[in-house]
Amino acid sequence: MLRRDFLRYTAATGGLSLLRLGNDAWAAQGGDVAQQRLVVVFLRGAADGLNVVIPYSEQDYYSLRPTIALARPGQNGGALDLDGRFGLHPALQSLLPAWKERSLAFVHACGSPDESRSHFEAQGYMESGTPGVRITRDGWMNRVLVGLPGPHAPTEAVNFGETMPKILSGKMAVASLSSGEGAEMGSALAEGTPIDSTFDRMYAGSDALSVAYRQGRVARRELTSDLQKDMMEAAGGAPSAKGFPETAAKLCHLMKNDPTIRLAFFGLSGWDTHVQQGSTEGRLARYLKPLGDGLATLHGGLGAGYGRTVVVVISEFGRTAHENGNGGTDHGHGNVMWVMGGSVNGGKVYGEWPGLDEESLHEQRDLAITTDFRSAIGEVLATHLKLTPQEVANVFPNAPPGGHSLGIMRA
Amino acid sequence: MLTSTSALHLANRLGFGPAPGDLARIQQTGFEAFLEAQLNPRLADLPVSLTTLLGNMPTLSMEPTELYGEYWWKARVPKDERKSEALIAPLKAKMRQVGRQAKIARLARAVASPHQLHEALVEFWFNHFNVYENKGPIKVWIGAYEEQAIRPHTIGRFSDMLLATAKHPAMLVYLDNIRNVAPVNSAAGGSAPRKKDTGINENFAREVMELHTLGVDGGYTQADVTSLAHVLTGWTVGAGAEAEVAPAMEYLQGRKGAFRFAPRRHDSGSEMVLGRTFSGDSVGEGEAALLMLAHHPSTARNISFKLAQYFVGDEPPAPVVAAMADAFQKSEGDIRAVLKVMFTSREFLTPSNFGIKFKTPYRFVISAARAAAVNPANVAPLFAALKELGQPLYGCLTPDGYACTEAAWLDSNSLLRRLSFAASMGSGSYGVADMVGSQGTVDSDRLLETLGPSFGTATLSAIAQTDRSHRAGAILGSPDFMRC
Repeated sequence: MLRRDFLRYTAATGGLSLLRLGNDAWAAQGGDVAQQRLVVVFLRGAADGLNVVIPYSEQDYYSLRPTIALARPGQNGGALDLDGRFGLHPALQSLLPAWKERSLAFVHACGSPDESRSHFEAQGYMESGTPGVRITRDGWMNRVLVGLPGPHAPTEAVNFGETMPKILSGKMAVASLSSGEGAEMGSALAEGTPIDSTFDRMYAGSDALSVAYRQGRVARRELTSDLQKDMMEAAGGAPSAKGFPETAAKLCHLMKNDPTIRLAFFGLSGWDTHVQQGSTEGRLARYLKPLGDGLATLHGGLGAGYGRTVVVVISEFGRTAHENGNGGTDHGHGNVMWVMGGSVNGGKVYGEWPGLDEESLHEQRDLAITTDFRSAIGEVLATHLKLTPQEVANVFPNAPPGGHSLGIMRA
Repeated sequence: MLTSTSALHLANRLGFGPAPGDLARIQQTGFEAFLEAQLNPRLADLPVSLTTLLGNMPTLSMEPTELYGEYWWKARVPKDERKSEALIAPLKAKMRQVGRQAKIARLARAVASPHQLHEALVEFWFNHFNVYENKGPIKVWIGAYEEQAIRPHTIGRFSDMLLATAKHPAMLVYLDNIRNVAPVNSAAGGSAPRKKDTGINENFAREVMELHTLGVDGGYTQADVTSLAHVLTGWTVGAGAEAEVAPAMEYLQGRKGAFRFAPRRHDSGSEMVLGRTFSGDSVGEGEAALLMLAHHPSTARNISFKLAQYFVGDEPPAPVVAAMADAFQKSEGDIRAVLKVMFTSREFLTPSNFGIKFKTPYRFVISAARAAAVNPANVAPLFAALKELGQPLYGCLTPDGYACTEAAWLDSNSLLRRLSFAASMGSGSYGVADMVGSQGTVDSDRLLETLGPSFGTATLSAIAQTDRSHRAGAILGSPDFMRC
């Protein structure tokens, strides 16, 4: 169950020969069981959830946000109506098909109970899955891997980014792919070297560097071969979309070709809208558009795999209910969680809505939290990834005792 | 005489690793004399290669006002008078030269300056007071920020550096304090008519407590953040009467861009920060609040911990941090005194602490360039390497700066990229190393001599089994060279 599986495999097959194992060796382990998958998108910088899923039926929303509020549905540039109470930011129009076919849901007033308004601390807590506990060394997605049945392929979890985020850190092996523009697999430094055999000798031990080296060699071999195949197929009509939609398209290709991928993670930055965040248009809208388009790419591009995939979008905390003096918002508390996938009980905004009147706001300034992010994700882990209650408790060791289930997933 | 192993430890930790001849020099100088020299650098004494290079970079010594007017404003194109692309392109190219010169100057000095501790501290303090180059005019201020707010204070008084960074236009823009304005309806102050900036922006106030001084556990509350933001209203950038009335980014025009305290944007009411009351209508109010933070015991602990994490180990032993914090308090934030306690501590000097710290991409690239005697005029190709390895220079978006720990940087993908960089550099294809042997590759024998006792027997044996033309790459890519 642990990374020892991987090391044992190395020992059994004798060092270098491991590098010659392709996908097939791992794929065979999966047997005919169609694998359930979880994709997590982390909006770093605290996305303004109140302008993503807009409580347009609340007059307080409009008085708190005189210049940045989204107009009511039907008005010029207004929110897209979801359920008669909440509306979607119009930059997310490409997600309406998923909403209408009921595979997209939101959990509003959701977040981490920790009071911190520090990006770094709050991200750390949301990634470790243990709000308030600083000493947790691994991330909750890495602990999910522990709970999944082995043997564990080195590409079972894939990070899209340059460095390993806390959420995936831990004893289980995780592969990394560069994401977005300017960080393509074709980069000079992403290729092998003429002295790989020397490095194989040097990094043959059981120390942290050697282990990372061997995981990297195996994962790179698998991931590059998948991507090269795709790039060949896509020649002539190469993916032109920038940023997240392009990376999401990469993930679709990878997941179709590599059945061993169970978890994927994207960290997207740029949500810290202290200044001039805009309304229908503007900075927030410019970031939401590619996010929505990328999620729509997953919706359309995973094909049959969409039914086995759940995508969760989270952010470390929300932003102040009132706009600040610069047409922006400051660090707040409650936020909205997005949940999308073929088995999601969608078309619904979940969570108890606390309201935006001064009495209901957290510390008279922020959206309160009525759903702990661990409860919502815990449901996905239990229902979708089929983790046992004990395994879910290992992922979120200090989560509040299970109250009522939200029912986000179809049974 | 100092052992070569100890000399290597000093070269690795007080700087970016040995350049040719360094180990023998440190051995002969001895520990105390070497440490004293590093703690009291004569910064003007630089090799001719560096003074010549820096002398050809006029923008390094320019004031933010001049940089703004000459390099930023002229390359901006007001929409209503769109100039031809042919006119604008050279102005933009000229603007880009400013950041390029700053980067060359930083890397060249990290690679070739004998004042290695100073250069390591430049990296440390820049990360501590991080600003990001791609936010508005910071693009042309990034070098000036380092020259004016960081470099003069690396081994000086902490409070001087805190005030210098807080008042620098780059920081004022980066953390939005130029938009932090007394509310119009405030009982005191806030009388300026304004178009856009009409309220408190607490971004800088929060980060100055969380990151620059007290630390996240430093014992402050949301109310302290908000109060400090009020205290710092009116700290802005600009000149003349316009600063009083126009939105910040609009009066940043022409030859302007200096720190300015704007009384009409300032909230002169009294505010309670950490139990102390601040009031007034001068820059002195904010200065007093920042000085209080600079001398707070939490700041002594936070700075000591961060320094020890950078120079001693990822999880610095509590006793050395406590001793440093004590020195910080007693000396009222004299960085030299704190460093001296750290470098003479048992925890730093014990052999079990040698060669265990995992290099950040920056440290890895600079140490390779030093070992291979890269010509300081030739460092530009390293920009791309740093970017590929995940640590672009002046490219950290968030105010916490780049981490220096193994947990932050060791993962399989970036390790393989390091090896590719090492192999390319060793085979001469990076085109930066001066230490090129007869085969057009870096001379591996000289490299081994320079790095002395850096390698274990298994690594030496693997190097010996490698074809001579690739040996330098094997040396720079070895697991032993990943640590310091």
